[in-house]
Amino acid sequence: MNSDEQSTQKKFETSKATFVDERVSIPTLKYFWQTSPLATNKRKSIPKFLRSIKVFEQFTDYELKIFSEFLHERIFAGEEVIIKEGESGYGFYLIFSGTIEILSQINFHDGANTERRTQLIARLSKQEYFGELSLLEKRNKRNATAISKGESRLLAIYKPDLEEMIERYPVVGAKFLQAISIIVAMRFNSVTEEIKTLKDMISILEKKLADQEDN
Amino acid sequence: MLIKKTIKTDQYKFVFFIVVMIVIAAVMFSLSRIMIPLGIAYILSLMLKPALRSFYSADIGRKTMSIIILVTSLFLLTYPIVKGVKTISEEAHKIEYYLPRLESYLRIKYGELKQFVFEKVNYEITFNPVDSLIELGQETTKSVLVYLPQIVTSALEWSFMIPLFLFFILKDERRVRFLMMKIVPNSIVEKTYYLYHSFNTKFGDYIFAKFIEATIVGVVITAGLLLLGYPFAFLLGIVAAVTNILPYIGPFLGLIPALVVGLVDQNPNTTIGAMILLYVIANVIDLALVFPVLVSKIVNLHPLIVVVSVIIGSQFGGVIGMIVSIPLAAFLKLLFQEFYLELYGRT
Repeated sequence: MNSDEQSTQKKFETSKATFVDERVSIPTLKYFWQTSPLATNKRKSIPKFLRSIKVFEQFTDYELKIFSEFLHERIFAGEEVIIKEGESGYGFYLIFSGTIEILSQINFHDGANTERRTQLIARLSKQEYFGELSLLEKRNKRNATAISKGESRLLAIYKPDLEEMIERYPVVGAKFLQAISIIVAMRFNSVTEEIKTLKDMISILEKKLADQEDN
Repeated sequence: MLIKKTIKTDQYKFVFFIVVMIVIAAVMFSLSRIMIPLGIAYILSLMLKPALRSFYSADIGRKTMSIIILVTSLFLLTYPIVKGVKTISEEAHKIEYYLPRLESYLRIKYGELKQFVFEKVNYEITFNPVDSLIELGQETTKSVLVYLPQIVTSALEWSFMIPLFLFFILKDERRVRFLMMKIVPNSIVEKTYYLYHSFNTKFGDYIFAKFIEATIVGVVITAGLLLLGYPFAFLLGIVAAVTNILPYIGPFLGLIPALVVGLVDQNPNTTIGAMILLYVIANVIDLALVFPVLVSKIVNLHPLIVVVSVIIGSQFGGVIGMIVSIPLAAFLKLLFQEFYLELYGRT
């Protein structure tokens, strides 16, 4: 080997060593990227969001990950109608961000006249949900209208997805149905409370009327 | 102002969605070489849904499941070709010897008929349908022979492409479906998804049920004909299975070739009466047991609608049109019900 060849070989060795030293470790970079608070990984953020909802507390992390794969992310603009009263419903919605107004048509009696008025029933925000009955009934009719107030991001699960989930992941499907049952039970309790309050009010009014008539 | 803007955005989304759908439909119709095997693979994927349930209960992943199905379908597509072609081609070769016999039989019978009419009403029939019928038969055979290399090439191409498409449909269908749902406008997303799911379920269940029904009829007829010692048992069994897919007229169409074979064949072992009884038994099994259990629950349609939809289907898409017409009619009924409920409310 002559001197020229030796120097070329030496240069090659040095450059190789430098290359190895300066080589970027992809796994390390990936680790820092994933752990960075600035990185928003959708795959992780949706199960994390679901974890913060109380009715999903019986789900394990793995089950939440599976459940999140069945969710459709839908973005609604301000004043956009999400569901309409009287229409057929096939979806349950979780509010990921934004505010949703639930409105219903109510008969308003003014003397002999009766007119239908739109009344605000509830204002829902992040971590709240609506439309659970559409997953349970065979032919569901929406009993209220939901409108997005400002831009909102919703996570939707539709009836066909639920059927697929029950077939593919029966445990996750059963836990989800359990969560839906809890939601329905909560709504039922609040309706019962409301009926009680209304009955109390009616009895007070009836008593007042009776007193007035006596006087 | 904000509501107006929202409506406008939704309209843009709607237009974009319609344009995408039209482009997809145009691509589908222009690339028939790809779309036919893709369509068959799609139908197979729908038919495989019941089998997938057992995979799910055995806790087998989507990827492993797709690989198992790919290998099985490759085997199932090639094995009958290798094994069955021999028997069927032997029977098909025999037909070559039968055709001249059929021709002479038709000529004799026609001569007898002509004589009979002449003796009875003193009128000579000048119109000769036998010659034109034989000419038509020869022309059809010739055209089949001309297109045979093309048919064989397509069959080979399909036997490779169908399992491949099936593999990817099973593996990635959900991902593609979720992606497609992203471009559906918010105002129609729920209904679109529900109708898409209903169509798939109805279509898949119907094709699967019809396949099982045709197989049962084919097996019963082949086994019966073999027991009777009737010629062309396998070919006639296949014909009966295929024609059975067509409702109402199918069983009669399947009987015609068997009758022709029985009439032409002068063999004393060939018993036409027993053969007709066998076809009747096969169709009674089908109508009394298989059809009510498998098919009728899937498509709850009036018989008249079934007949009309089959006629319309045959006019637009031939044999495939006839098969597809019934689940399509069932889907249209569902669509009509949906719009009716939307427009007139619930009772």
